[in-house]
Amino acid sequence: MAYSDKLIEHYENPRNMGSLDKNAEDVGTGLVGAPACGDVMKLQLKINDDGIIEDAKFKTFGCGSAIASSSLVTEMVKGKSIDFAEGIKNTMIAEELALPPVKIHCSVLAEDAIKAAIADYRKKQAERAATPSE
Amino acid sequence: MICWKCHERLSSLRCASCGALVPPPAQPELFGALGLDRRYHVEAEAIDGAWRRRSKDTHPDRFAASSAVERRMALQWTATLNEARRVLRDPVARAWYLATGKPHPAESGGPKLSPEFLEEIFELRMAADDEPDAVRDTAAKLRARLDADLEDLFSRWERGEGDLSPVPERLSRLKYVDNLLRELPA
Repeated sequence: MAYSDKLIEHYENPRNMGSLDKNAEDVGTGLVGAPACGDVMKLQLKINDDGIIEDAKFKTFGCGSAIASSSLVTEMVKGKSIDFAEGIKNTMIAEELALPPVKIHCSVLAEDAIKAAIADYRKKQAERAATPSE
Repeated sequence: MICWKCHERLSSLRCASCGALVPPPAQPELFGALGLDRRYHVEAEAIDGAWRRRSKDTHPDRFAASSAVERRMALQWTATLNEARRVLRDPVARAWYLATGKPHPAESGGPKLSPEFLEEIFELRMAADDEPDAVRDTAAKLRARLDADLEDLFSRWERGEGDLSPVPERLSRLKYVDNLLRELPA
């Protein structure tokens, strides 16, 4: 089976690999796994007060498609609003990378990771709002 | 059961009287296809033996002179028996099959693993390059615990106690641990 050039390019030169401070108030972390293949994906978003994603980092232990999916998704959300990021569907990732049917779950993982990271950020913000600053 | 062709009483997959094959099941139960009991604890030799006995009765070469329908049935039996042997010989596939009716996890969905477990796997992955020996050690312990867990679940189930509902979650964990162990630097 032939993989697309775009997929191979993201796999060989992954964008935004690394990590952000998971304890920082403006960083949301999503850690998700795919039970079918045993892949784990960590995705982190640094979000400013205007709700803009200033930085995105990922670290994925899994197959090439999972790595390419997470790399692509960080590129898609950087500089965009939370709302935009929340609207990302796995089908956009799958189409962009021309994922074969057996690898569609990798794009689902990337969508789940973005959603988990945003949920974590929102939870932190709610906690911050609940604790009065001095 | 009686022979579909000559109505003789059957004692194997092939009629002793006219040589006709029992029609292959459309949705075969893999243990049943081999004439085995549904058990997790089964020796590879028992599976091979059952496969060999049944394959002898159904081998397509025996039906070279038979009708097209019977040749097709022989082929289908062969495919079913081969599939049953392949799946049931593999302990992980056998466990999935007993617990879910499928020899592998579903493509998506599946059991939800705890964030703590994912965190533990992720941390082990992060440490794999720097301290492979320590990671291998921890992973081996995780695996041993899961193996003991599965062993216990299936033993009790075979005695008629408890059910297999916790099995998919354990098998999913096993998958993460095995991937980690496989990809550790030597």
